[in-house]
Amino acid sequence: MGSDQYFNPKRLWLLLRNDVLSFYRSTLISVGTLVVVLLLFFFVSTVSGRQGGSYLPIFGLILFIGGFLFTSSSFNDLHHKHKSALFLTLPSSNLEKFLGKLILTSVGYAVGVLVFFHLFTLLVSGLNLLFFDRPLTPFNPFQAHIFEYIGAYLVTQSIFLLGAVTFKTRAFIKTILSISGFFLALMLFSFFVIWLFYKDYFTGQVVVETFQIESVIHNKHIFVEIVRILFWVVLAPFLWWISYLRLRESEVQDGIS
Amino acid sequence: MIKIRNLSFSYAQSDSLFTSLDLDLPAGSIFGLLGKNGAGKTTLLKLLTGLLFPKGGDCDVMGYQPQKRWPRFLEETYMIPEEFFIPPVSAREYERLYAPFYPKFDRGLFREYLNEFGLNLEKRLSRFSYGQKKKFLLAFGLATNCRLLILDEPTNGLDIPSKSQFRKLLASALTEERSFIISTHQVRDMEQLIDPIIILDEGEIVFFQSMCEVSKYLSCHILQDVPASSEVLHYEKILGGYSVVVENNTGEESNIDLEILFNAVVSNKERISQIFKKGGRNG
Repeated sequence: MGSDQYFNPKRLWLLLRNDVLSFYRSTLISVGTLVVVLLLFFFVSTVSGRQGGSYLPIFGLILFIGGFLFTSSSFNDLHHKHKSALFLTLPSSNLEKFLGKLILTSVGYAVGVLVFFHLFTLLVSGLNLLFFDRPLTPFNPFQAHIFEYIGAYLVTQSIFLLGAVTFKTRAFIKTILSISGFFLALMLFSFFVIWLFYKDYFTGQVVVETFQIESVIHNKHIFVEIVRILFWVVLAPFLWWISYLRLRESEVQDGIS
Repeated sequence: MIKIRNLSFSYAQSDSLFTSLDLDLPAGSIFGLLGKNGAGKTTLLKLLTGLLFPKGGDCDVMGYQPQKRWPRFLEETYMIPEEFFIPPVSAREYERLYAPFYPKFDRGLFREYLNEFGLNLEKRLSRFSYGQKKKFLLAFGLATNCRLLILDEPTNGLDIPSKSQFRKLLASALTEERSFIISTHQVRDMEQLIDPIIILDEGEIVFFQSMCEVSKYLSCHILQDVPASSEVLHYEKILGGYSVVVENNTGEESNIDLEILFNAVVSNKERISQIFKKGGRNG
């Protein structure tokens, strides 16, 4: 089997182009709605004299919440009774189908939001100058904070991508519930481990002064470093791999008709 | 072209549909896949296109395992399901979006087929009727020049002239390298088109014969009265008498109605199978 059967850049480009062309109407409607809502927000802020704060909270909201919603709907065709046949039998590899969705919902979405938000703040700045005679600094996409936000988005987005491949309906809500369930289980497990190893401290059988606080602090640093590496380096590639496997194993919902 | 060996399949929530299915389909024919509701026709078609995965056994289509869904396999396979989705774009836009995925797609042929069916290239597909959508997909599927075209209930929703156009197009598009599989309940629409006939019943291939073999070993007569002979394999009341299927002992070939053939096979599997075995072909 030639490598062309796993990956062909032309087919990936066709998939990306089809996705963009198929969804540009709904994207335009979403962008239009967002522009109206944000214009109202900035107008109210200006009138009430509270403008001038950071753009980061709004940018973060659009990037994360919007991105998670967008990502959660990225595999809707796969779970649709009639659309799934067209999606799965389109001549492209599972890897290309997966990469197409990944690029569009991760880097594609982040770049789109950066461009949109920059242009939007230019518009708001112009309108502010025109109607209120107050200059407003446009959003600068080249700030260190922005790149941290985008980095965090690219990692956390992978969770929602896995949710989109896995859950047939209401992927966004089910992913949120799954994350909550995971952290709840992790918390209970941590309590159990702490209780198991340090129960004597809780029951008063060991005097608190003997507790080696330095050792705990040292372990905490190692633990934080491990979590940091797991989050920034391991989490997203691992979840992408699982998502790809899930897509590869996907079948249509119902063979009977 | 298609080799299935010992294939098993079941839906998670129900009993096994196929337990040990064997099937060999060579290239160059329009196979008619017949069966009662729930016999497994659509499931079999979806297994052949990689939309469902077998639980066991081997399924080889043109040298590929369908469940791998390799692009080269998908380029050579086109399926029109009974229920389908068409994006709300114009026919021209659809061609622009999807044709580049099929390296052998013939744009000239596509336009010819659309003309034949009287479909406008500029019209939005969402404004087409169900039958028009089906004709559009058929034109697209044929224009891909794929080697395996799978059609599930293709004549549902087609008007009378379209059914005849459909038969004409399909017959003219068949080559020695291509195969078409048509699953249908509308057997009368498919007469003179599908050959061989495959009958699937309770997850098993109970009949797989060419029409030539059918007329060689079975014959159909019209009788005035209820046939009493034990030689009768199946009979049905028709206007003015009874249509009767018997073993062809005279060697005289008769035209057998597909609907009656289907009913005869399903109601008398064992005897019909024996007749063909005796004649040298497994039923």
